[in-house]
Amino acid sequence: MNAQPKSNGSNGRCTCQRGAEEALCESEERFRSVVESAIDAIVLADQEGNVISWNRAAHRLFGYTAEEVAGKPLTILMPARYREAHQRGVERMRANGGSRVIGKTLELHGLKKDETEFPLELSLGTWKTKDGTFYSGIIRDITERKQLQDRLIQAEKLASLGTLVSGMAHEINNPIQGILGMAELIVDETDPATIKEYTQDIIGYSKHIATLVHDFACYARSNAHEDEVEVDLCERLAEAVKMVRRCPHFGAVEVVTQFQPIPRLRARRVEIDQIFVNLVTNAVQAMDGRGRLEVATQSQSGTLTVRISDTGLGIPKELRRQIFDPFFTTKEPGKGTGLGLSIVYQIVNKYGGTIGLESEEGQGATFTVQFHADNRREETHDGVPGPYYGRRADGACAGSR
Amino acid sequence: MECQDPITAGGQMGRVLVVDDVAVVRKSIRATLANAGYDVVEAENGKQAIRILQEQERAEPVPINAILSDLRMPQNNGTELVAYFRRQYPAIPVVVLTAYPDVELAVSLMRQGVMDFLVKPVLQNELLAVVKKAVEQQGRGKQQG
Ligand SMILES: Nc1ncnc2c1ncn2[C@@H]1O[C@H](COP(=O)(O)OP(=O)(O)OP(=O)(O)O)[C@@H](O)[C@H]1O
Ligand SMILES: [Mg+2]
Repeated sequence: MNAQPKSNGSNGRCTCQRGAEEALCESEERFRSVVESAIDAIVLADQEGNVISWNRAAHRLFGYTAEEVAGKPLTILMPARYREAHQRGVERMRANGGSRVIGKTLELHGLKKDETEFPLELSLGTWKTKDGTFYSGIIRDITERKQLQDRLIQAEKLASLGTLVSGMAHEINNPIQGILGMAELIVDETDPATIKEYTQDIIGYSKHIATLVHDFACYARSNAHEDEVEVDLCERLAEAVKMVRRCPHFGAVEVVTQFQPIPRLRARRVEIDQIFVNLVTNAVQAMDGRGRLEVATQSQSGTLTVRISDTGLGIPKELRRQIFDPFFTTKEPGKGTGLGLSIVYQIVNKYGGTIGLESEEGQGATFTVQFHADNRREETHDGVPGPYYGRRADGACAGSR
Repeated sequence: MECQDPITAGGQMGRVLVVDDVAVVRKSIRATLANAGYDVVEAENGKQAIRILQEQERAEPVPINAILSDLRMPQNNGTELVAYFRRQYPAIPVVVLTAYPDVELAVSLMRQGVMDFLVKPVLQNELLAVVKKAVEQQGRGKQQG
């Protein structure tokens, strides 16, 4: 712990005398020991972005000692892909004193002394003195949390796959039952009018099945791409509505879409699908077969906005906070796991987005998801477009265009 | 050739309540059963099925001899519906006809006394054999009880 912004000695001890000054020193001392013993890494930097203070937890986390990092630029703590954006941020701060990241909690990656990367959560603060602007960063290693999240997302994916398969069985085997039944009846039927009627049923339901299988295949195929791609949010939202529509509880819900052409978002498609399917499913469940589902997309000064509104039973004020908690559900046992929104929240967060909720009890609910259009530029790791970049693999899928 | 009002039609073989939310399934099963001499009563959902059973109770003469029910329907949980049938009308054999082959579910339903568990699509002959067995069982049950 050396190189304090306002310390009187390089050993970090106060060399002050009495009275008010003494009290100030004591409080500074106390503050310092709190910082030192904190579980989270606490890093202070000057306005050039060079390290001036480094606690024990930071040493443990990054592997550098305080002496090793003192005066070094913060960029040594981050993977190369963040450095440019960081530099721009520091310059922007110096120029106009504002930044959209100050006061926020960010999920990024850190780089240890041994060059390994790890996921971290960073809360950035800033303060001004007559000597200039200083930055403080509180950093927490979130490797474990990330692993847990991934496992949860995986589990939910399997669960939704199960729902999908049983939905598909229902969708397909029912018309097949009709087709088989009609065909067997025709064998023994002599009345030409009845034969004709059954034959027409058979043709109609066969076509219906062909369409279904085509749609399912498209959906499954798009889910198979695990890498980050340039995702068309309008397309995915439309697909999600289509998938949820197949559920028997969709009932007579009216769907209104208001899509504006918006830039693509760099993300894993399966995760974007999860966001939309979960939100649309909740909306439909809240309406119990009657009402209006509105889905809209919009783009404004670099922010991509997706809105999903329903006219269902709404969310009481006192539940607003809880609904995003894992396993919180108001549905009967067996109907909901309560994981839907917590997964949505995690995925949105992972891509640096936000999720908002407006609701009047009894008047429906509106969930708003927002992303930064430039998340891809900051997150593009190696400058090489992903394997599916710009490829319209799904061009042939019904409904995707 | 199908009877529009099965309650008044005279099926020789017995009367079957078919519960399924999909019209084409009801249509083909009705025709198959009617051709084999059964009376068919249709219900689109659990509510309708329960109402029909209650009315039948009052209308003494021709009771339902067997129930053929789907499990997955928009307005009800089919599993609960089947449990309700077994509880309220233990004398009426229940055959489940579902689109999704779920072994665990099949076993648990059989434990609750469901007579058979058929997975769609089912062939005419299979269907008729199971329905016949169900109706016969109900006849025996009545004699004993
Ligand atoms: N559009 C909505 N309208 C009203 N209530 C909602 C809406 N979306 C979510 N909720 C409330 O939030 C709760 C949590 O939602 P979440 O999606 O996390 O779980 P779930 O839907 O209950 O179960 P699961 O999604 O795992 O099947 C719901 O039980 C419901 O009470
Ligand atoms: Mg949900």
